[in-house]
Amino acid sequence: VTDWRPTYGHLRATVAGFVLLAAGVALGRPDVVVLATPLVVVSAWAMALRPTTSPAATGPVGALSVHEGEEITWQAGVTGLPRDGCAVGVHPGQRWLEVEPEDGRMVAEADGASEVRIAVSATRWGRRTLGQPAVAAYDRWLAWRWGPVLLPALDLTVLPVTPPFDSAAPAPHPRGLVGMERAARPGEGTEFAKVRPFELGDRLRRVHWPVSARTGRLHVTATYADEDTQVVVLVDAVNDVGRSTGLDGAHSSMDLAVRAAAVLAEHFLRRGDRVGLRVFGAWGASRVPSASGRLQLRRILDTLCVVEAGTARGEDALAARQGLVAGTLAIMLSPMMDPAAAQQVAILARAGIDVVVVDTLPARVAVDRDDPALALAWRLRMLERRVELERLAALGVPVVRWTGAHALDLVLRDLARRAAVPRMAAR
Amino acid sequence: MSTLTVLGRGGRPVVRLTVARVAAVAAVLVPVAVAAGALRAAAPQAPLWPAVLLGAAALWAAADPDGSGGLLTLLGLGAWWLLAVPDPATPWALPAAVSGLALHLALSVTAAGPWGAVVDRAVLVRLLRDAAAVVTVTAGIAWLAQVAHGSSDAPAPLVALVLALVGVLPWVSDARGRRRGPRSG
Repeated sequence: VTDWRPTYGHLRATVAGFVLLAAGVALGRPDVVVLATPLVVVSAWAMALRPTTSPAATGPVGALSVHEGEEITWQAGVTGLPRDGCAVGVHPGQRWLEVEPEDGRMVAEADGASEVRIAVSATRWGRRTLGQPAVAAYDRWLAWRWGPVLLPALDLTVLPVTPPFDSAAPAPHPRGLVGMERAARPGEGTEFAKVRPFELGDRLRRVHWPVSARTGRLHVTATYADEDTQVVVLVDAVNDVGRSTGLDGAHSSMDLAVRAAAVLAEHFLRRGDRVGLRVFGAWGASRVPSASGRLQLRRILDTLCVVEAGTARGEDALAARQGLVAGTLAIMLSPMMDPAAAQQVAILARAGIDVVVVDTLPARVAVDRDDPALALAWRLRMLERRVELERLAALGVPVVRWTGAHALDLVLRDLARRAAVPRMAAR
Repeated sequence: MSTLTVLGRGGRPVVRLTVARVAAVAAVLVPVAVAAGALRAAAPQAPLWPAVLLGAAALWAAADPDGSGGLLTLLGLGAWWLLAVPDPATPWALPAAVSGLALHLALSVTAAGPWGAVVDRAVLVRLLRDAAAVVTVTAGIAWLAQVAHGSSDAPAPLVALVLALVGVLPWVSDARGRRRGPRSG
């Protein structure tokens, strides 16, 4: 007794072949015997070579982390195949998952085994469990089948893509001890500030000999200190506006926000700044404290992965300010659909925090025009939203539409320039 | 792989056609058309309406290769041949028999996985190699039938001899396979 079962094809060849053969013999029709011959031969051949092996299937187990659009190969091995047999593997597709080939692959046996390879590519960030793949084995005439056997499903963590963002604009308020930003105060750094008289504690290698010889007193070259800045990326996940069809398709507001957050975090972390993350409106993903380094980027991307819009509503608007001090650069990624978002931005701006609002409302949002009430409500909300954005602009909060990685460049320059001007802030 | 997707309301895909899917349907329908052509050549006076029924049965078989459509198509082809072809020694029996084999194999491959599963070249080559051996045996039997038809002897003994030959061939092949290696199958 084996695990091999006859297929319907084997039954078809046997029944059709022997019925036609019997009819041809009984009626004395050799042409009908000729018609039956290939089917009878195939049936008898398959019966004579009934497989007696015991196949086994193995597939990848566990969790994988990939970026959006990154292609991985799902590979399953089937051993114990009969001579000239084959294996069939199928990986189910699902939303935001591209599988190639979608309908499975049939692979020939080689030395009693075969490997089925299927390309899998996730087109949207998130954490998901893939569907269960299956494999089956066949003999040479596809007359005997083993399986199909379900293999373990993969857990996939899809990190948002981080296309290169190479802004030359400085952050407005450099703080801390190390980093790439030029601080406002003099100190050990690389950027020239001025030539000043020698003071106790100055290094000898800083002595500027031409000026010292001309004036008769020792002078040194002073530099600005190199420092870092604190950047907090605020993600408004109260609403997800628009339809998402993956990396190369239409983007919803959460798509734009998550991908923009990933790009910004990577950019500022690469510059040596401290970057933190706050997510509003999503249960289970709320805050990543500010830190620097590559590990921090992974922390932020992992947090962005689990964002589910609209799972935690009604947060206090003041929560946005917790732990943020004046001089922090806060970048708010929001479609500005919820009035509370504008309220949070206003609170941050009044606290002396440099806020930049990145508008993540998709350029085209499909509204059901057949429903006049819905269309009217949408239009009213858009008018209210425009008023709210104008009020924010009046408060000095720049609002930028996210059109790509360079959308922030000009705004950061303006903020850095404005930071040099004294102003009042509510504490 | 290039894919043609027909979208319905709300952007949901209704029909998705790939090269493999189209090839699978063609591999089922073409043999039926060839068999009908062979029958028409063997019996020019035969009515053509059974071909429409055969085509419908083949379409059913293509849509559900693991169902009864394939068996119905093969038996329908045999019945139509038996009733329509007057000459038992017609040489057109061989193309019709090869078409029947091609239909059976196309349905078997299609039923082995989801509709449109990509079949590796090595699988196809092996299948065609084995099918060529079967076609050779069929051609031999067709030749014997042609030769025996002209003689005064009744064809029944010859047919019995051919049947015995057909019955022995698989065991010969099995014995060769066992000699080649320890693996069975």
